[in-house]
Amino acid sequence: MRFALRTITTAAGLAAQALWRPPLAKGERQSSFLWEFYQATYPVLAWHAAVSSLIIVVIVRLVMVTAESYDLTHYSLQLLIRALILEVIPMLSAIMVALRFSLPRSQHVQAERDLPNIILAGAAGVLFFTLLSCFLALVISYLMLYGLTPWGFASYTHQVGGIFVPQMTLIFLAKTFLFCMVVAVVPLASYQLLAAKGMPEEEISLRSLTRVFLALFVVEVMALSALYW
Amino acid sequence: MPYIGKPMDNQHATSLASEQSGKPANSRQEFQARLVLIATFLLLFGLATYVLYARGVFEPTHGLVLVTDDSEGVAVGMDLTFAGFPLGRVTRVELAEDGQARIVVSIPRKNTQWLKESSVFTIERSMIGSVRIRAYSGILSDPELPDGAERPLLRGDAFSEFQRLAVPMRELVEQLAAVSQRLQGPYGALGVLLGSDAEAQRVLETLTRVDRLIEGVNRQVLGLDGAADPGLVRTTRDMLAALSQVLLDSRESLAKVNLILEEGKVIAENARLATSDLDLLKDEASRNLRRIDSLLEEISRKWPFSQDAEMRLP
Repeated sequence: MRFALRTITTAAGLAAQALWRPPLAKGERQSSFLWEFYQATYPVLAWHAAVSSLIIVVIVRLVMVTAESYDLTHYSLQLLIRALILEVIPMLSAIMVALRFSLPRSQHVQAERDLPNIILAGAAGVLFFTLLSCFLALVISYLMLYGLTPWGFASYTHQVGGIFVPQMTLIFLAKTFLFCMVVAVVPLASYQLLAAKGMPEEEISLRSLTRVFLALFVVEVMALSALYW
Repeated sequence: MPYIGKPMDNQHATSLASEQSGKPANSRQEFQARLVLIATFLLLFGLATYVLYARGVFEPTHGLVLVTDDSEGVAVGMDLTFAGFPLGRVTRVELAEDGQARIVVSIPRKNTQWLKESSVFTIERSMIGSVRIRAYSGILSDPELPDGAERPLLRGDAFSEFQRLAVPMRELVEQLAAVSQRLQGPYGALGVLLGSDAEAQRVLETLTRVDRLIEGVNRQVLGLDGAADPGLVRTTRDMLAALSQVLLDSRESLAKVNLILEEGKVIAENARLATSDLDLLKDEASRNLRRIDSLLEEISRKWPFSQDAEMRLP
């Protein structure tokens, strides 16, 4: 518990640093952020798109077949959007960025001035992958439900509008923001705390990974409680 | 708290992140990063716009208040459908001071053409699935429903109908059980049909009596019981044999009468021939008479004392 609290306070401190620290040199910083952002997104872009498309296709097919067999096709889109866009996709994007960028990057920070760029790049990476997967989920769901025809668009849009009620949209946005923060800040904070204790590298990476997953899990439980309880 | 940075070492040289960390991006990578950044903003803007569009934020809407005594199952975001098409959404459900539930529906202006002054709104609850609010517009030439109109919400409820039917159904089942019990009783279906076992007993007694009566009639008619009484059928059979003999005798007599008649017919034929000869004689006689008559007229004309037949006027 004390450890978790210390992680949170350190993370908050780092986030504050990222937000409040004045830039050192304008050109250098911008270039550095773009480099970090490139590292966070571009190398895994194709893989992420392919994996999330596959997951989306599998889930859409599964939900459609189940809904048809129970004669509940009317609710299938609602179930798809709730399951895919609100739950699966943000978590998948956060895990992807945490594993491929934030956790490895946190162990190789050379200078304190790099921190804001790494934090921003991690958060922006999670946001980018979440948005991309949402877009893919909407397009793939439409194509699998209606096929290559424009005539289902009005009905589809109406149903999407019926799901994104203000309360749900706000919770989704808050959850995505918290996921961004967790992925961007927790690995750095965790490394800083554990490295100060003189732990070996392997243990630090394992513990950081556990903490990231734990934090994501806590955010997910909070979001689910807010949505359905 | 200063950040504890770990300098890069050869151990992590294989990692892409460690390999180039801290290095400024080259122009190609910078361009790709910019592309991804632009894509992020485009996706953010596009998806936000799409969700807002789907929510109907960019469309002007009309308000409609539906009043009902029970709004159970009605939730915000629920559709108001017309002919299966969603026309609007429930935006608020509230309880009025008179205890009635007020369901506020927001309808995009392009859909208001389907809702008329004479439109009827119903709320339907099915056994499975959610509540549905439907609109029915019978007369499409009526004026459109004004903004903020208040209309009663009628029940078209399968489940409440079921509840209403539950009591009669239970009575029916009880009666069926009683009937099946009586069907298994001593008088079975006859008792059920006639209303009571006493009636059924009376019918059975009547049937026994009818049975006895038929037996008596059989005995009387067929003489089944023995030789003492020959029975009606046997007597009738003897009578019929005698009658047949009488009829045979009558046929012979009739044959004789027929012969006599034939002879009479021959006689009549001869008489007819004789009559035709008499006709010829009569014709000749009348001819001679006419000749004599004309001769007499001739004589009387030529007779000196014949009178002048001409009449002269004075």
